[in-house]
Amino acid sequence: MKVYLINRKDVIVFQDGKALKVFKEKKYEYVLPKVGEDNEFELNFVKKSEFSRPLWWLYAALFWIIGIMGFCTSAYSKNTDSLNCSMKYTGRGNSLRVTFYHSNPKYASQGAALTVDEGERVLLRNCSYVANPKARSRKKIYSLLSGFARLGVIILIIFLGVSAITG
Amino acid sequence: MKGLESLQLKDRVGGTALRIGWLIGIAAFVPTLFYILYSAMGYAKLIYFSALMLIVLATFFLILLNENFRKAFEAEVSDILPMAQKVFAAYNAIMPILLILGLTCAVVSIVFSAGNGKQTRRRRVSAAMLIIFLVISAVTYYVAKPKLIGVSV
Repeated sequence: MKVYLINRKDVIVFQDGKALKVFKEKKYEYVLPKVGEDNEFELNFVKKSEFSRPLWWLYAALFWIIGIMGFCTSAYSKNTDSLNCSMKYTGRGNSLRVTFYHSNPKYASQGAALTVDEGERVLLRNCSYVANPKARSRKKIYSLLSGFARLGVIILIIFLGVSAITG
Repeated sequence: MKGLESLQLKDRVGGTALRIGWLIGIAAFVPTLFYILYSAMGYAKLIYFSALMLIVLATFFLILLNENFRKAFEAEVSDILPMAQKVFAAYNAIMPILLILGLTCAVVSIVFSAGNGKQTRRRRVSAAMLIIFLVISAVTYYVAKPKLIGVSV
């Protein structure tokens, strides 16, 4: 059974508490869930901002330093909303298509976070993004401090360079 | 969800290691660049003198009467060689460190990309390309170094 994931981005797919490996076929991503006796299975689609973890400031600072002022570390997700959607499939098909809709950061929790093709026997629960204002404000703080810190480091390097040249 | 934070951490470590690895790889490639430039200058000089000879033949040697044209044959030896020699000498101690760090970053990236709940083929391909890049840099450096250092201007 292949479950195709259209426009997945940061969403991670779990089954029985374990993250499923994502494969790629041409330009489509898919997962291979373990299927029960009646071709049934349940998946969890989870998305959570890295800024919602405890000690987020230590996490961000560490990767900013290791990533050489944050330039060498992957960009954080722009959308800080959370998703924890469960999907139970009770159909008989060989494949299923799940399309994700990523909410506009300004207008969270609008509409369903994901849909499946019409006619599929699927039960979806908690299918909307939940706004995470704490993560959003933390991300703004990080962006601001990161910008200032980079500027400060660059000015310091120029100052030290000029001092070294002029003696 | 339990384990999501550790997956995010793994993914970030893998991604960061790969980017730093490429930075190191580019730094390790500098001597190779200078060697390519030095080798290319040799060919460029050949092309230059061939072009001058073609002009001489096309003008039935008459252009050799022109003093300015005769001066064109007195081309200076390029400054690339002393620069390349300095770079190679400077990288004597740095190169093994860069190679080890670069390879470590590539391996860390591959290891931390496995089982992070994301599509990792692109990252693994990039890490493999980084390893190849480092190998090319290392081979070029250690093969070219005795040739380059031994040449005098």
